[in-house]
Amino acid sequence: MRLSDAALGIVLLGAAAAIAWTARGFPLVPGQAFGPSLFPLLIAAGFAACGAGLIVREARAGLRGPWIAAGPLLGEARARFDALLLLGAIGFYLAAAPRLGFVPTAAVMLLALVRRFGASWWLAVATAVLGPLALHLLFAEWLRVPLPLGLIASIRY
Amino acid sequence: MIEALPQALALILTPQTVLVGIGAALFGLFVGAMPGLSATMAVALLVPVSFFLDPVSALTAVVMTTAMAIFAGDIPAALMRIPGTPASAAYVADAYALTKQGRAELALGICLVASAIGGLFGTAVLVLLAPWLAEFALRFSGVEYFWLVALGLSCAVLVAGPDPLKGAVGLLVGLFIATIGQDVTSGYPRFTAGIPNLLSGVSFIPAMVGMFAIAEILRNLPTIRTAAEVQTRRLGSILRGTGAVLRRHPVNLVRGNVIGTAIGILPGAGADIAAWISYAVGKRFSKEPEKFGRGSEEGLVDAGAANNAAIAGAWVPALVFGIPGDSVTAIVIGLLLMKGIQPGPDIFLMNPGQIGAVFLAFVLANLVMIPIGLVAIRLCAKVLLVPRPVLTPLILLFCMVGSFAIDNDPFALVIMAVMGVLAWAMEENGIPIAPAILGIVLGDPFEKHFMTTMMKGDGSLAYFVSRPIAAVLAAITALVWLAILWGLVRRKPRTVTA
Repeated sequence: MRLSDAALGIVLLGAAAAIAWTARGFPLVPGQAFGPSLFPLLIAAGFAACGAGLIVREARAGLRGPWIAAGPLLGEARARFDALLLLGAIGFYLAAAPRLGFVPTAAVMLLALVRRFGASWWLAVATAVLGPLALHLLFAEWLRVPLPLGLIASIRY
Repeated sequence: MIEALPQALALILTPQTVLVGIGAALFGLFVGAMPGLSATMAVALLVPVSFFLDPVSALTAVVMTTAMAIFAGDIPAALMRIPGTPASAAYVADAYALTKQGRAELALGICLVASAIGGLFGTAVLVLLAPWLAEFALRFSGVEYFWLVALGLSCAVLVAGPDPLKGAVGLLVGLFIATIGQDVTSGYPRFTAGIPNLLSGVSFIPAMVGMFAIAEILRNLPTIRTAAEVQTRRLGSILRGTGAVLRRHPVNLVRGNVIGTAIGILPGAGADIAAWISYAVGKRFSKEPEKFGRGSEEGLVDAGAANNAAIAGAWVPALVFGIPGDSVTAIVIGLLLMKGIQPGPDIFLMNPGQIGAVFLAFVLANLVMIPIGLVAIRLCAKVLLVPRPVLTPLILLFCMVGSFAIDNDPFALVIMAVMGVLAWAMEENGIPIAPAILGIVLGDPFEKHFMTTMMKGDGSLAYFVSRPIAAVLAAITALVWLAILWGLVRRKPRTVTA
């Protein structure tokens, strides 16, 4: 997603307003004229200045491009779905891993993604079987990271 | 520093450190050689594992990985016309042109030896300059640190790229992210949206993994199904003729070393920018500038040395002031803090052995680079055939497990994903990531020094320039901002969309 300078400027002005609005409610430290809101307010002022600068620059240049262009990732339907699937895989992992455990969840995730990205079934299955096992060995067995065990817990312990 | 040498040797020559070093070198070669995976991403992926190692092994791993990755980026540049890391992008046309002329060996040989020499030069500067600077910096108080951080952040905007205005936006994004969580002076929770996981701030490593790895994966998605073409001709002797070329261009070699190290030391600019600037300077002063872009040996010497020299240079401000010289050292600072080592001038007094071990790791990395690099060049044609449809999901999974492993907190995955999308959107719109990283790393100390100076001076801004060194640093910072503003005013409106 590519914004024109002016569109980006408007987004920044909006961000500045939102930061300033939120920071306005921060309490002062007793006995001082400034508190936790001072630094965020300075950042908001910076955002506002940059946003205004971008708008002025585009206005002066008089370039008449589109306000928003899709760009390579969002412009093409296939890439757009790839990106959704990739982020969806993270969401799926977060939802499923506590119950299913790391290895099965990761295997499902890898199988879907590798296959979606165009590898053969054979490669996808091999990756889905070996990848999670290798990472489980590295992190859970060797480095003692408490990866969710899920279904494995009943088999192994 | 010399008296710490035996201690440093004992620390680095343990079986664990040596094994970790070799593993990290191979890992760095692989990641650096794979197009679309950068040296910074290699280090971000390494951190979750090195988190569990002792500090010396962890730092050795980082040094080995970066040195090898930056060199390995040259291999696909020469064989496929695709830079393995952005640091090789400046001279990819030249390296590939030499390959087309049937001189792939020479291109790779120059890159390899120039990389090693550049790395050793940068290391020498690091070893000599850092302790000396640290002694000077011991006299600094909060005000000086405030200006030092301000100067570092300002430099990051100045060198961030073609558009300083968007560089400033990048910096502000980073500083804002750093304000999330409890405020440094009063502990009041800011911008947490009621999420308790955000009270201690945005967890640093998941954020880095997101901004470097997830963002890169997203950016490369549209081309994931296109297989790369690799030059598979059997290569002859790599080093033959390399020495002669380097002897013919001693000025380029020295210049590349000096420019690379200096750019590395500048906060916010690392190997990528060092290579571009060194290449441009080489072309400007060359007797045959028309050859640049068409297989110039000179360009390879200049830029090939510069990017590796920058790696060590970046560690100077990182160790002495806690101000990262590039994105890799930004992650290193996070790693040091996790290990309970506070970067700053005291580090040379408190941990002389560990710092000596880091210096040694740099020397060793650049020495073993030549033999390991020779093997890597032979194997590379095969490695480059690892299909990206398989590699990309595996990297995603590794990122997820790695982010989780830092705090054993599933919320880290949310941070990773959000920061990844944010960094992708920033880059899509020409907002550079490096100043944002600096903002995230330096946001807390910046605000802390700012607030304590404000309190000491009772709200008076004159207190900020009340000490001589502080006043000098303030003046330099002001000059940097004048340069940034000058660049903004001078820009021709027509080039805006570039």
